[in-house]
Amino acid sequence: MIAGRRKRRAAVGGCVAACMLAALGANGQETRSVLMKALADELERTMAHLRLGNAEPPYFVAYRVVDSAVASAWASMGATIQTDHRANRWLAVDMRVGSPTLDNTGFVSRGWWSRGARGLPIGDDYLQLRRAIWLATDGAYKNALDQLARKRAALQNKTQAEQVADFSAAAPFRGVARQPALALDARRVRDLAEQVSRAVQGKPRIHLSAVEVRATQSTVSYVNSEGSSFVRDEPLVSVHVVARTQAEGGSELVDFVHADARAWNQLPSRRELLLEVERMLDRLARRRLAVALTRYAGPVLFEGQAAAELVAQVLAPRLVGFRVPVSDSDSFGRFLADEFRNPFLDKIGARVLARSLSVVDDPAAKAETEPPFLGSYVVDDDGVPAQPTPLIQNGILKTLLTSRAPAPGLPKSTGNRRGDAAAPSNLLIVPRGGLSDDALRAELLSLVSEREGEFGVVVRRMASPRMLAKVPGSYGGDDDSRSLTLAYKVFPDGAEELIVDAVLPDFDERHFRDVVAVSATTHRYHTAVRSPAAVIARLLRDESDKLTTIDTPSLLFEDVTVRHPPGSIPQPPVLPHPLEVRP
Amino acid sequence: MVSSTPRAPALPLRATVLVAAIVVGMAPAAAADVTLKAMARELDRSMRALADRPTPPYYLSYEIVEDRVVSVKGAFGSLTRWSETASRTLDIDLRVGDYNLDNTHPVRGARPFQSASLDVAPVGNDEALRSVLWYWTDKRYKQALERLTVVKTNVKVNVKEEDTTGDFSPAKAEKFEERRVPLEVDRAAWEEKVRAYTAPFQATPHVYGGSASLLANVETRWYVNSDGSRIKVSQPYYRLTVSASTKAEDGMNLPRFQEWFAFTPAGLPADSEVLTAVAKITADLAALRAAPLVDPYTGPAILSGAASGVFFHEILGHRLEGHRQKLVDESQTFKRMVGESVLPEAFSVIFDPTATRVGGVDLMGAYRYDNQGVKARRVPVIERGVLANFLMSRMPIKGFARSNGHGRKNVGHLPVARQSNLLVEVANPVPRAELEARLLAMIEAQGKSFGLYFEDIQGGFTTTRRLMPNAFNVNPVLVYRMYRDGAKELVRGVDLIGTPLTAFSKIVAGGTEVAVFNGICGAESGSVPVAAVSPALLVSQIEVQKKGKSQDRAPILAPPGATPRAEDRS
Repeated sequence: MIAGRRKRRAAVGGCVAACMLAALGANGQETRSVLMKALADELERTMAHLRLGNAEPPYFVAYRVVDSAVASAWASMGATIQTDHRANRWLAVDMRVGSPTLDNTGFVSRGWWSRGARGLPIGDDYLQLRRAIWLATDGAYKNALDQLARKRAALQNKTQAEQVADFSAAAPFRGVARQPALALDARRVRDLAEQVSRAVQGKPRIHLSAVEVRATQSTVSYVNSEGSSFVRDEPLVSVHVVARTQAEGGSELVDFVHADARAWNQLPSRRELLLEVERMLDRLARRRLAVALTRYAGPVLFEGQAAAELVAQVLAPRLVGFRVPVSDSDSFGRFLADEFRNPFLDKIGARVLARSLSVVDDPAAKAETEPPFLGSYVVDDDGVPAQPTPLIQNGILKTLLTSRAPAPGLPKSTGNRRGDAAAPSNLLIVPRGGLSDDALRAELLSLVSEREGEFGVVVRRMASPRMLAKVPGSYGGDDDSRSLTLAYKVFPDGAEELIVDAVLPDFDERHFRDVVAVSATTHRYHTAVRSPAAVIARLLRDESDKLTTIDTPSLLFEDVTVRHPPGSIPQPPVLPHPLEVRP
Repeated sequence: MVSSTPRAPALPLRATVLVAAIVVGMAPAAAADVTLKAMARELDRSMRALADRPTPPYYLSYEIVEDRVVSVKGAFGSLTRWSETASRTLDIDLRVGDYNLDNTHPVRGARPFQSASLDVAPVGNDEALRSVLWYWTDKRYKQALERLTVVKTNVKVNVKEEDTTGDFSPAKAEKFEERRVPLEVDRAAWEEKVRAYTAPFQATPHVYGGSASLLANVETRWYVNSDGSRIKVSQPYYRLTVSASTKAEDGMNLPRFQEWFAFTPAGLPADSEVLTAVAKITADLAALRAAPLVDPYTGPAILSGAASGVFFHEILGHRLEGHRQKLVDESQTFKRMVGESVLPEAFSVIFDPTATRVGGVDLMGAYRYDNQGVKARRVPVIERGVLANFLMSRMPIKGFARSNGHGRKNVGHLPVARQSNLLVEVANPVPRAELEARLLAMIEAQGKSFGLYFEDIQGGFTTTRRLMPNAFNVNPVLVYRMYRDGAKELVRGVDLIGTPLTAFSKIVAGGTEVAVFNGICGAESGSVPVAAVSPALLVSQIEVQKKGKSQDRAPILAPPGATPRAEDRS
């Protein structure tokens, strides 16, 4: 990603939250649009009349409509590969039957399938909007009744270790959070993709490369039966550049550049993008010739992007409170519990991070900073206002992020529903007593010396699952999301030697307790956090990832294992590249 | 299992089958296409560079498919979505070994082979394209070597195969280029059209889904192979669909739809024709809601031309695909029946991808070259009731050594023999009135109280492998009981089922009215466009079974804006 380093924040939370909230109500008539009126009117009719015979009526209904327009293009070496320009509008119905203590949600049946979201008319035809909402509501209600009956049956002969309610209370919220509309110019998108992709022309050592430019204008319109309503814009323009090659020894190498912004003029300039692509190509060229690291155990310093990606992949998913759904299949229920239970649910009050670090999730962080926060919002997808949540204070876990679906020990929403599940917004890793870059490096070498080690390891870039999904070609080597895409041996004399083909084989959230030093400055980075909650939500409905901004210092760990990835190494190409001059 | 998605029967044609062999597309391009040249250059270089390897490829082909699509959809008088997309994908067929035994040979006990790669392909930039071709050729070559070893071992450790005709057959090098056909869609105009087409559904509270969509695309294919073939073809498709659905009181979902297909936008119907169809669909749905359910039944029936087209496609067409006579897990229904009578003497069946129109209706299964670079040709498979030929890809089978231009696939799949335009011809067609009279006579003779008339179908599927019953299932949506006095009654809730050889033995006569069914056929090589042209059929015995049905009730509340029902006011 293209982002800068910044000085440590003096304070987190309060003042910036107030700035964001000022946007509310600035354009109140939006809540009286044709769409909002149709949603409100059908909601009113639903709550007043929808009931199947003697079955329970809904006790809560929310409508969330996403208007989405997209212009995207993929190009490689100056040639367009794919273009996509579209507009649609989708409705998701949050239908709850039963009571907040026990309702139809949080249940997964073996024989279940997703009903997904339903398309709505794009225009302002009030009656046709009502008709589509009516049919979606009817289906959601019948499905909810069926799910509740199955859930009650599944629970009948079971004793639940933890009694957790299914829904938490929240005060009604009304507001509007508009942002300037993003121009969705298909030609502009395609031209930029082609121009950036030309940077890889004439480079036969790069096996495959692609550039995606994607501009999305999304607007969320929301009403619920408790009186909440809001309209929220989510423009996003992204440039993703990915490239793949093979090391001399055969290892597959992948690297990437990405830039994300809420407006075209906040993207890096074309020149800056090309410069970043050149840097990426240079990294790949150097890595092709680098030595492989067979095995290493010892102190490792994660700097910049690598520290942020590590937080995003390992720590951030654990910061989402989430209850594993009930299932009517014992084996599937066990699978869900084994696969998705968050160990941090049992760690509230315990130390999970070094004492020198605190963590705050702050959706109200001011988006207009430089580099910007892209996880900011005014209100979440449950209609709960954004608020900063101190998650870890001086290493002690205080709480986890939640939506209105409570988790064990977490009865209230923190205002973090994003799409269908709770997710971090802007995750700020706040250092105390941070060191200068030089001092941090000296600390690394001091630890090496203490162990009488030959060298330490510094990691400057890590693979990103978000970007790996965009890399053309087969998988292997760097296709492992825990692979170190730019790492060096650091010797006591300060010399560095590039290493290649290294992964973190068993790195988990427990390692964060052993951060021994951090930098004073932080690095800001945008990515998508894949928490268990999001994975389950994606099973239930098809929701795209939401961007989280990670703001973190460099992190020095005392004991980390780094080794060659498992499996065999593919052979280098047997066929010479068409542009390669052979001796 | 192979299946057909309905693309709606075209309007019945009051004519015997007249097939016009008009080639599809535009005039040949003047100069060699730059993409084709880049592909050929890279293919030649790859073959040369790999020639000195211990196991060099003996065959290589590249196919790039560009799909430009405009889609517009509306419902109940409103626009619901639109999109304009373009994509380019690459497939590679790389073979090591020889024509007799290569890496694509089926490995007994393992999943079917899929050699084709699938990746994005940059077009218009020589370097970009050649880089992608190089990368994937290298990958596929290594994979092919690995698989050839597995194949050779598998052949050694298993019993000798019954059909030892080899894995691939030679084919003539073809050279053909035509210009890329422009995609002609005025999106704004079509947004208005889909609104207008679906507005009448607003007035019908019992219609729960009422939509119209235009799907227009131009598929341009660049194909080169090591035989020397250099082909560029560009094929437009314009499909307009109107569909609506309702639900019976017992929960059964009742869909109706109609689709029009044409190679040009001008070939799509006038607004008045679409609106007439919308009115008929609406009326059909109202009638279907009130129609009685049918119990399982066997007896005589008439299948309309569209229903017969699907019947022949599922029951006969798939069983005439060449590879199904060879693969060991296939039922090989017709393998040993060449030269034998399989249909009544009056019936002939031809597959003709060079046919583009019948009676004014464009045929979706038309193409110039198949996906293995073989020129499309007319293939009579059944002549006056006698089985004469199979549909052939470049996989030979016993008695049929060469392709007849039916090696087809969707992107990302290995081509196998697939259907194109299926044309059923009857030597002595019977007028509709006579068909009905003969049906009534059969009802009488068989002691039945009624027969069935299948007017419209939704699609169907069949299983051709040995591990499952070798059966078919055709899904009708408009079925009538025909009583002894000639009265007709609309019914609902049945599927037409049976087994192939028995079904053929019950065909009695074909009608003079011919209909076209354009559809998308799904099988192991992906979805391919096909057509079936058939007269109505009189069959002495068919079997129907109950159709699966939804258990969901009709909507609880009345539609918004409608007069509130009692329960809404409660």
